Amino acid sequence: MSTTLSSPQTQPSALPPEGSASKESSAHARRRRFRPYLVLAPALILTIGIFIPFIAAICLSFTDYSLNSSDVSFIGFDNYLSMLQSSDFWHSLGITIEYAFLCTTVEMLLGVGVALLLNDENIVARFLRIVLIFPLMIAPVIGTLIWKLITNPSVGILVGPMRMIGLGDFKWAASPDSAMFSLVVVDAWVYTPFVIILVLAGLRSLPKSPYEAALIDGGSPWFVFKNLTLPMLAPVLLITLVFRLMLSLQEFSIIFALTEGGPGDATMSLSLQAYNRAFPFYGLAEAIPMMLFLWALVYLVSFILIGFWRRAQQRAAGVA
Amino acid sequence: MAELILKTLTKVYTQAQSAAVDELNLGVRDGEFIALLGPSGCGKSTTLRMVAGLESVTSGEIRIGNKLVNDLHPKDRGVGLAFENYALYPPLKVRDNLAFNLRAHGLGAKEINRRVDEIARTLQIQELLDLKPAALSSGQKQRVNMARAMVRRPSVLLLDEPLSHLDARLRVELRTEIKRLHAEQRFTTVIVTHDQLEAMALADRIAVMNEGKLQQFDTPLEVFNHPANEFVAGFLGEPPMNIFRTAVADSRRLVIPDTDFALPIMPAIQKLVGSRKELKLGIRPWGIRVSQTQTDGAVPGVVVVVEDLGDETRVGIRYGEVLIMSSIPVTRRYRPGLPVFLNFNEEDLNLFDPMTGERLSDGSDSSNQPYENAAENEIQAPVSR
Repeated sequence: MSTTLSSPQTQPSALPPEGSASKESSAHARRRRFRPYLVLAPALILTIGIFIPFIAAICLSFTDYSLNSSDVSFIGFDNYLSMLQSSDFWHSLGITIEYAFLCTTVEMLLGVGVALLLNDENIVARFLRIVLIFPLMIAPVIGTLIWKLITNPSVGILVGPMRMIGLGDFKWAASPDSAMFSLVVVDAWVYTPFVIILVLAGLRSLPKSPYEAALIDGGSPWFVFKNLTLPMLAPVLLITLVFRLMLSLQEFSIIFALTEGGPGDATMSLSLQAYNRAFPFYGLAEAIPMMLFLWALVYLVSFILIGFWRRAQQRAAGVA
Repeated sequence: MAELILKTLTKVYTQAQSAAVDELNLGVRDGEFIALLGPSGCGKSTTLRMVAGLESVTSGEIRIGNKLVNDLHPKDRGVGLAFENYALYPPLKVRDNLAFNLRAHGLGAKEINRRVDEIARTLQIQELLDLKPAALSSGQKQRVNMARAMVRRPSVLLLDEPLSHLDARLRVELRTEIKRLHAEQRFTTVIVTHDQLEAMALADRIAVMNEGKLQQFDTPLEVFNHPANEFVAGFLGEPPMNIFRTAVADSRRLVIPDTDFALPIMPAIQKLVGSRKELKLGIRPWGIRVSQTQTDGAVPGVVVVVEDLGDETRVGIRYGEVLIMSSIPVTRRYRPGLPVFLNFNEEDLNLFDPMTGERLSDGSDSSNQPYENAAENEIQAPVSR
């Protein structure tokens, strides 16, 4: 079988049928043959650009490589074992999951609610639909710094109103009790518009006619939402959920800008823990297992949710 | 079930210059089946959507069972609407599609199941109940669509072009089905259609619309045999009615100038012609007999086109710009170029005002009973095809 495949007679069949026509010039045929590789090249380069650091990192994680020492020796799984034995790691994992869960929940609920309100043809909705894109143009770090200013005890504009409702000495990010709350508020403030835009796009792409039928059939808005909108919107909701979960599990910039993992280690997520190990304390090889663990977690969560998404898509289309 | 009354119903879209529906008056009796018939853009669907409450009313009244429903929410009007594009709920099974309305109105699970099973039996969709809309053929979707409209036992059942997306065979099948359902359930029904055969076959009365205005509202036979104006005459019938302009020559003959066409004015239409100089003559292809022997009052002509359709033969005779089509029993006697004589059936002649297009009438039209029976047989032929 393999000999026939490599025999000269079968070679022309590897070309597109027009390419085998004798009238065509060989230059043209060559161009045709290289075209697929040319089209693939950018994706290939991108993949290589991701894979080289990824594999290099995995290799480094088996060594005692450090940024302030020149000799490197192979130490096997020591970095992994010490990570699993460190209470800092488990604490950070808990913080990471807590942060991702709280942010995603708040943003999804708020985002879907606001999107439903904006999916209407009044002047306010029309105006807000355009304005919504603005927060997404601001870097999360800038957004966080704005919040720092807003809640600043001496110049912040939120201090007055907080005092009026009897919370004048609310510490925001400065207290371990309210640091996580502050982070969730900022994350929700930065990313809820993203959820709104995706869900709104989903809502507006739903077919109109079933809603006319529902108008005549009757039923409360909640009844229509539960029976019609939710199943048809489920694929969009799940994709939005995947995006938000992936990004909030990995979130670095907001936490770094607002609390730097503090006070103490109250908001020390895996990203920050790894960063702190790698750079201020030069332990790059120690930090890598944490990032790999985080990568595996994100991969697993997305994999499961994408499975749900496929099923939801079939259900929405009425296939399954 | 209730009567439906539309009083000077008008719809003007803000961008449009003319009204989409213009002072429409229509009374549908309890249990009656009427058709809104007209070309696309004539306002028939807009009318239906206004009755359903999906479109706002610019002015006028909609009354269902003598209750003004202009400002009622669609769900409170007691209407069931079968949508043109089915508009089924994609994520729900057929059973839940049918139960949607009943659930929304808070009926008990037992009663819902009973009603869903009952309507499924009536429309013969029992075996589809556990499927989702995507798994259904278009004919099945339309049955589910109608079942959903009927399961609530509406006061008025509205059917928006229910057959237009089906293939020809399925269309005829479902048309018969609709007729049977109406005979069984006696819902007051309004069907919107651009298909004259559908309207003729289904409706007790047909409302012909054009450019937002009601042209004629009468029984199918009356609309077919005594069209109120040139538009109605031209819109109904396949092949369409021959309508052409004629001049009155010395008060005795109708002629097409500069041709051989000269039809003696028969006593029956003498009064209608009166002192007019010009009028439009309308005659259905079945009202013209073609023969090769000259008889009294026959119009000579030469065959230019012959269509053998199997169950009839259509023969075309040209007079200048005018092509007159005649439909006759199947024969192979006629060939293009053959000289023939046309006999116009006196009772089939329709005269229209050349300016307004209105039918000229002496008010004695509808008393002609045997004539209507004859016409009924003629309509049946195309309907059954």
